[in-house]
Amino acid sequence: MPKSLLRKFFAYGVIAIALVLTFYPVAWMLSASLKESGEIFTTPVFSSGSAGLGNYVSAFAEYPFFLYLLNSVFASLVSVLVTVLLGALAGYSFAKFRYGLSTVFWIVVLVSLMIPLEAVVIPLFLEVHSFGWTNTYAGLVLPTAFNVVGIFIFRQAFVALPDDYIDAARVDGAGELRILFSVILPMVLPTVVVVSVLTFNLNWNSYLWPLVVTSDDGLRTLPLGMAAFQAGYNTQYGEVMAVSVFGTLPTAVFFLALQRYFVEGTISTGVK
Amino acid sequence: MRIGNSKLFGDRIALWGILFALPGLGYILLFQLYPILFSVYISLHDYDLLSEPVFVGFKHFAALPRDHAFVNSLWVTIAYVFYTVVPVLLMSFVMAWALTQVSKSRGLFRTLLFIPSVMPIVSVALVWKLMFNFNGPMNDVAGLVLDNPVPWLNSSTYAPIALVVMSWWHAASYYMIIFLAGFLAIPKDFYEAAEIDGARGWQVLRYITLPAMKPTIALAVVLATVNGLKTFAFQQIVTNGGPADSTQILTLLIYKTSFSYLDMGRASAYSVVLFGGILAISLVQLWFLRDRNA
Repeated sequence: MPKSLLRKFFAYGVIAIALVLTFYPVAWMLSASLKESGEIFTTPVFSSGSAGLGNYVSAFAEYPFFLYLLNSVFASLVSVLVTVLLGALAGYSFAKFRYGLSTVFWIVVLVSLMIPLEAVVIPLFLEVHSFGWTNTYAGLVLPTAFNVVGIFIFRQAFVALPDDYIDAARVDGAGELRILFSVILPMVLPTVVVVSVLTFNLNWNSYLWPLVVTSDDGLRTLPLGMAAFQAGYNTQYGEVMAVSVFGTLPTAVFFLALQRYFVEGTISTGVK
Repeated sequence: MRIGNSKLFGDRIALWGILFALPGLGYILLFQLYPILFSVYISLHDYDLLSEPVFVGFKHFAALPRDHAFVNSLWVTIAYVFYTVVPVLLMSFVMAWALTQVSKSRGLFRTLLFIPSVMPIVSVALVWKLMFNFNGPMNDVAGLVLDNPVPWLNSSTYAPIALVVMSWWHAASYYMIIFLAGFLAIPKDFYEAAEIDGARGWQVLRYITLPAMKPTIALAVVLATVNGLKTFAFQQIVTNGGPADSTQILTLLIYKTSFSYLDMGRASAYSVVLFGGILAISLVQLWFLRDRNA
């Protein structure tokens, strides 16, 4: 079948080109992070630089990147906790309970999905300011902690569970909260992981809100610290690339370990 | 059947349902619905954070058509979204199709190609900013076509192109994943039936694949457009809107007008326009979702 052979050839060609285009900038970043500023634009991408890890050492001496990393980890973990807790509760409510207000509640959730942070950043800042939360961890973390998409993903997982489990637990006299947390939630652990991974990564990349709500260096998250470093030292290209590599490493490890859940999360945000 | 209706349990259970929904709803009211209403309120006022807000009615909205910064930003945004969304969706569709043709290493290729989408956005911005340096590798690429190197980020002609190109790199694999899921959901017997009827390559694409992919394509268009409208970090980090405001996307104009110039009223009017655009597109998405669930 020459025609199907041609098709395979074309498909592999597309993939090969896509792989080269995907990895060239990544390789370039890695290579530049190991070079002196003078070498970056004059030597080929796959040549070894003479800076060694010098760019990493000097960048870390100038800015407290490990503090930024800790801030990012903290903010992202709180976001995961808030989203799993509130998302599972609300998702369970929409999946397994019928009450008069549920349609109104559902509309509220749908509307909230259409409100992007980018359009409410001013009033949100004013509100958080009135709480006295500017330049605090509470202000940095809480206003954007809840990823509402979590409600949808949990609801979908719960709808698929037979009601019998819940009825049986009720007959056994289990309380409603216990049913959710000891019976139902353990049955959808993969969904918990999908929501966690999705939320963690969303928060990890959060840039606009931390930029607006913090000005203290000690509260900076990794994305803010990286951007500020670049703005302040923009001629030390090797150091900027070292910082980019450092920012990419946690995500890379996290992604390679949990890539199945990344993919599932992406699909469930796109195709609800 | 849902449990709230079960004869055995009854209204007491329904109350638990309401209780379970309340924390999430409270959060949404506090940090999303109240702010969007507050945003409309501020857009009807002059407010500089220092003195009390002064009611000015629709002054800020009436001024929009003559507001050069806003009109420029609107065009910058529309151009950025258009030139990003169309090529990204074409590329990601072809990439996803190519992955369906591969069976043995599909998972591996999918993972490798997905990397640009999961890479932290600031890292992406910093790398591409350097790649578009006058002495950087993108001028080696441009050198294949053009005689002279291009001052990418220092030219109001080329800077918007540079931002579009890096957005292709960042976004294509995200929609590839979504299209791939769509492709794999098409039942195999569709293709078998087409084969029996003697359909050829292009006919299969035209009459089987594209119609079956319609809902996925529609969703991808909506998602990509909304994500394009929300883009902020690339423009802020790579060009900060310049040169000559040529990359001043609406989100960046809102940020500068509010937090640099403290003109909260005008910036809120911009925000309301941005929200209106995103709301309109999201309603289209909702309509498609309803279509699918029916």
